[in-house]
Amino acid sequence: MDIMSSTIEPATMERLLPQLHGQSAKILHYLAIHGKANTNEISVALALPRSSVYKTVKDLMKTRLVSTHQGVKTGERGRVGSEVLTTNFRIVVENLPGVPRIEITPKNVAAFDLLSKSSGKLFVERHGMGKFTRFMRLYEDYSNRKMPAFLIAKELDAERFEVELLIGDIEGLTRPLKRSVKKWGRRNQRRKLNRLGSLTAV
Amino acid sequence: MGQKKPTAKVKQVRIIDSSLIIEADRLHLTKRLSNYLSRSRIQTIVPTKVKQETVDGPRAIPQYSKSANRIDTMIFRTNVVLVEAPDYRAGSTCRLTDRVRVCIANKSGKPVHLVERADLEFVTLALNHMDRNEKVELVFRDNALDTCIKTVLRSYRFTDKLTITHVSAHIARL
Repeated sequence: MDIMSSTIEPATMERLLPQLHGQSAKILHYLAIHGKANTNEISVALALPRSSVYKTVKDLMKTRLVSTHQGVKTGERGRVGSEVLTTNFRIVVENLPGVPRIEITPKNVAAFDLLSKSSGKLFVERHGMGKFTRFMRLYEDYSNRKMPAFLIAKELDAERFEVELLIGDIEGLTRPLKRSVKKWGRRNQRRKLNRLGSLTAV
Repeated sequence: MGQKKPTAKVKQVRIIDSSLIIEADRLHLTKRLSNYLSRSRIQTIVPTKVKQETVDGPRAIPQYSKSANRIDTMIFRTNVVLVEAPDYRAGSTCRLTDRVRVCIANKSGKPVHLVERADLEFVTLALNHMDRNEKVELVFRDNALDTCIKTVLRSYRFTDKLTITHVSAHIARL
């Protein structure tokens, strides 16, 4: 993307980095795995409320981390939100303390998101940020079906346990939150029952 | 009508990788995994390396020792899984394991010596059981390993005795 082809100011970077965590990371990771998808598909697959997916996608489009797939529209009326989305970017952060270079791409954005999770924090605590960035690079090979987890552990001189925890958390990012859906379902059911109860009482 | 021949029941075993145990523990489902494995009619086997990766290794690290103890108490001490060392005596088994090793090394662009036989203990164990005419279900997560195992074993026509299941399929059943 053109925004990435030049050196950007720290203020832009501050705006960009939060987009690589949480729900945005989930959506970017989903798009990286599937190549392209529309907002409705993302909402169903990740079991996220449609409104928050729309909002996050809008923010991602503003920062140009997500763009519309050219020439394809799924909706009959071609509304915003029915457009097919795709992602392709490369963010290079250089000269950080202890880390000469971090490269963030859609393939490893989920690995970068681990920095905010306990498994990632523990890994950095034990092995340092340098090894974590190496893990991010190796994870790209893992997701491309080139490298198994035990080789990553060997390459990083880390325990297999740690590597499996990291990979498990990354894969869990695009796993729909089944339990919360059930919870919502149960809550709605209870509300309906309460409403019915109050009606009968009247 | 002739009498039916008594058919010998084919034994089935399930060999699991450390990824299933670690994933279940991460999701706080270790107890459920233990119950699930004990309820299952299929005997679950793990190679010695898996025990080392899930219990002995992380136990030495303070941050992970709690998890390691939990796994040890709920999975290994309850005997829901059988820890077995692979048998390398059969030449054909070693040849197949080596072919999987070469396949992984080629895929990852690393020298073959980096992929040790010990890393593929559960593949060797699966081959051992298939040699004994048993059906084997392999449970793991690695996609690279999945491709290599399928390629190598298909060429040796072993696939009718082998089923490969992804870790997530078992996690969803817990």
